[in-house]
Amino acid sequence: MTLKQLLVGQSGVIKTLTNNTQFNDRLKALGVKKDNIVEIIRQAKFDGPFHLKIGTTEFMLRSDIAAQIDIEIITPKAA
Amino acid sequence: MKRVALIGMPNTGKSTLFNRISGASVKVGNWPGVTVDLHSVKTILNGELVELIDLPGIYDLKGYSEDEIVVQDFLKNNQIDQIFYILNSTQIDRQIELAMDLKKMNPSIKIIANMIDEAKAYGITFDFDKLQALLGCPVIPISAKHNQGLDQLNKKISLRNASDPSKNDLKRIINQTVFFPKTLNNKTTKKLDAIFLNPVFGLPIFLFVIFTVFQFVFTVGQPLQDLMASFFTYLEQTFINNLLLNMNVTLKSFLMEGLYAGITTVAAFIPIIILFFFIMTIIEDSGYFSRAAFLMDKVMEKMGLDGRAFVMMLMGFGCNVPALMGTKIMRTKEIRFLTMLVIPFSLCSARLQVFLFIISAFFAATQGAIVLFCLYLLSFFSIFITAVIFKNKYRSHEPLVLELPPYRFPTTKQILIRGWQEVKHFIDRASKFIIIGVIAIWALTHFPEGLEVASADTYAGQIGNLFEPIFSPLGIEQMLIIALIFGFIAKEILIGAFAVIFGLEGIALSAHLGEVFNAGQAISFMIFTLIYTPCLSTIATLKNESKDRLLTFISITWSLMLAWLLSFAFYQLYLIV
Ligand SMILES: Nc1nc2c(ncn2[C@@H]2O[C@H](COP(=O)(O)OP(=O)(O)OP(=O)(O)O)[C@@H](O)[C@H]2O)c(=O)[nH]1
Ligand SMILES: [Mg+2]
Repeated sequence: MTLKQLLVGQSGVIKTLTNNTQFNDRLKALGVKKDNIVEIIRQAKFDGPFHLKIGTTEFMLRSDIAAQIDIEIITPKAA
Repeated sequence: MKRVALIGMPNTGKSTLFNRISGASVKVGNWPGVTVDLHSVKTILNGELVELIDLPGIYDLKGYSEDEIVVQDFLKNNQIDQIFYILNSTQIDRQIELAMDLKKMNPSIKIIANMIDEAKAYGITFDFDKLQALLGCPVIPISAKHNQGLDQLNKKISLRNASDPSKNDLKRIINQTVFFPKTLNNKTTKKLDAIFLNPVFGLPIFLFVIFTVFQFVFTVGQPLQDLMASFFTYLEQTFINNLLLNMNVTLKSFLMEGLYAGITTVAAFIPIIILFFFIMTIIEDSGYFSRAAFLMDKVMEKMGLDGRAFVMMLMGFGCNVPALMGTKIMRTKEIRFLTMLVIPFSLCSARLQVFLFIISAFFAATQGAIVLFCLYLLSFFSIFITAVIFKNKYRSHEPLVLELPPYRFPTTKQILIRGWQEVKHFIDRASKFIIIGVIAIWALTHFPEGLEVASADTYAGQIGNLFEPIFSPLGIEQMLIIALIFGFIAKEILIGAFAVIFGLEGIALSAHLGEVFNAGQAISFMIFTLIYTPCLSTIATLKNESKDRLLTFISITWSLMLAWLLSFAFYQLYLIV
């Protein structure tokens, strides 16, 4: 599934990035790379950007890009 | 001379360290991309004179935005004796890889683990001895902001030559030497984000913040300005006039009604400038800019821009010039050009002075604050409409990812230094443009000799006459046209021009303005001033940065047109109502 399909509060393991290699370099520098765990903190209104967290880095990512990134959802622990 | 270069990812504290070591005061801010050009200074490091260089941040060695290319060119064309690789200790796991890439190019590298204060507060711990042994290069923990560990920068550290670790090794090394707590202790940032980035209230809060800031500048700054103005008048009446008793009338008029009145009326705004930039510094360093980008990105996308362009606009509230330079972080030419086209509509501090001046002459304090806020809204509106009109000409699809750094607060010293820098900047402009403008306007309104000052037959009157058909539907009168022409050079000249044209200053000038013009004319004049082009420096910067004549041309003509249209629409409505 894609990063965009995750809900706020859920986490996933990153599998593949976008097909824009130049942009992928920028993503990697921010920690968006294979096997890293990404968490969705919030999303802006009207399908706006996601507020994401990987390790100690927080950043925003437009939702059309999130739709291009494949992840594997981490099943949430029982509350 | 040894050359030492500060390299690292954006927003890691390179400029803060640069200032610390050298005593310089380059701009610092909690936003990735504050430094977009190279700064170099000669300074003493380890008892030795060195050339220290501050550079823009880079994400990797092949980035393609203009600020990153500055760094690549620098690395290619210069012999570097020592690299200080600055990283944010709390993000060492993702920032260390770039250090190793650099080390392959240039083995004389020291890793500076900055922001160690934040790492401690978060509960992150390190085994630096082991880390540097495994990496094969020195790692020095410091806090550039709080001046901790800087004495260690020069310490000679001898390490056995370790082979360069592979990417997988690197991960293992970090796992063995850096210990992250289960949950990061960054409650403040989390709490603040829950408020400021709230999906429903985020935007209203943003507007409220802006309103409060300007309300504050207005209510606190205005009395200070009045005080300054009264002081200058007092000085003139009790002291200077006595000195000039026997002076030639024309010369005296030139000195007092020209230079003195013009310059002191502008200088009275210094307290407001200081106050304004104190607040600007706090906002820039707080990290709120990135949040504004998050909140506004969707709206900006609709206009062919993005959240970063919005931040440039906010920077433009200070001064349009650095905001234009800040667009270097954009990688696609089209979005960069579109952003450059909208930035000049951002209501900069110079225009703020003009408006405060006019508003105080025409409106009571509470009303005035609302008028000012409306001018800010108009500034946004001009930006939106411009973007919408030109978004097809400069269409782009630059994907966007942007860091949201933690909230920070500047040190008192940082705030004071920035305030002082802006005063220097102001005095610098004043001593060039403003004096020239004031002298020119004095001459145009006082010659040919023998006429009534600033009357229709003076040179100023004649020029005004020429343009009268264009400006009278806006309610802008002859003499003010001259002011507007010189306002093209720098907006502060407008204030000086009022003083010179009416031969008055301080409270007397405000009172006089209130008598000869009505509120509609005042607002129409302000609308025109807001939109018709910021100043010569802005245009020059736009041309230099874009290297595109067409864009420069569009920028100038479009703003003149829009200014005329909106002033016209307002003034005609005012006449009807
Ligand atoms: N807590 C803490 N904050 C720091 C430290 N050093 C810098 N900062 C803050 O980090 C932010 C970025 O600092 P800058 O010096 O502008 O960073 P830079 O690396 O020059 O950034 P760019 O020019 O944008 O690449 C500012 O808000 C600084 O006040 C530090 O040691 N500790
Ligand atoms: Mg910097």
